[in-house]
Amino acid sequence: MSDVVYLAAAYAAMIGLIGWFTWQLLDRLKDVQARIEAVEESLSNPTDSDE
Amino acid sequence: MGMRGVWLMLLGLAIAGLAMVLGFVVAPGAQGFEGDSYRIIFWHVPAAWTSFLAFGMLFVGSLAWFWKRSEWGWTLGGVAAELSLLFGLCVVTSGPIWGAAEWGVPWDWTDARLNTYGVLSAIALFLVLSRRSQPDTPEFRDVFSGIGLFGFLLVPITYMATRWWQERHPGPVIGGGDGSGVDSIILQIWLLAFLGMTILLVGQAMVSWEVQKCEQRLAELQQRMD
Repeated sequence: MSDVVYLAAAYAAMIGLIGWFTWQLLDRLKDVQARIEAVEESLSNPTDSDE
Repeated sequence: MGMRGVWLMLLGLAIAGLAMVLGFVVAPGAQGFEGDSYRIIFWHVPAAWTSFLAFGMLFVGSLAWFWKRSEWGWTLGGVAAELSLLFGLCVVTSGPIWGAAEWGVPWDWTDARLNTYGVLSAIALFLVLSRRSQPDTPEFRDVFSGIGLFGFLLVPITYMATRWWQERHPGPVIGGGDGSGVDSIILQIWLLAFLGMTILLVGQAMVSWEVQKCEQRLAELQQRMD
């Protein structure tokens, strides 16, 4: 294989790892904030969940 | 903290991306290496340096938990373990690709630098997986922090490995004594990439910190609901 293929594979792997990590970090933040909001809402309106 | 972290991540990525392009376009050929595959080093080496910073954060967090039972230290440990894993994986994926191009084999089990770094990354992986799978108890925090402290011991050993037992991995080019050294343009591009990755690390740490705090808040709220 040529050097360019090795170079492309190495940088693609590193960019992919950094991109995936960053994406899942932002996704986790969004998800956990939405869950906190939902739990706070159900704690402030306890009767809603009984109905 | 979250949005500032996102902006820092973008800035860090832009600087590291610029360094990568300069490494392709501006950097001269490196002495002792044939062809262009050596240009992998423009991210590989700064990623290794950045991973050492992340392991340093893990050490501080683990120590703060052991010494003061600090919640701050526990949160920092979780943030640092993830970042150590990220930058560790960048190094252990790009390194073998370069090894395959330059040496004809991706890994050399007799080389201390490769093996100590591999163990370091495996420790980070173990910490991240265990933190996500185990209940948050004081005993688990002790085990996590103990392994975090042990992991950091491997950082100076890994750093010095090419000086003490050089087999296949290239020797040190900075502070390596007589006969070592690197072209000033290559060094400047390395430092630019390191700056970018450090800013990226800080941005990711800020967002990850926010995630960890939110997860702790969610766990408290769920306890109240129960």
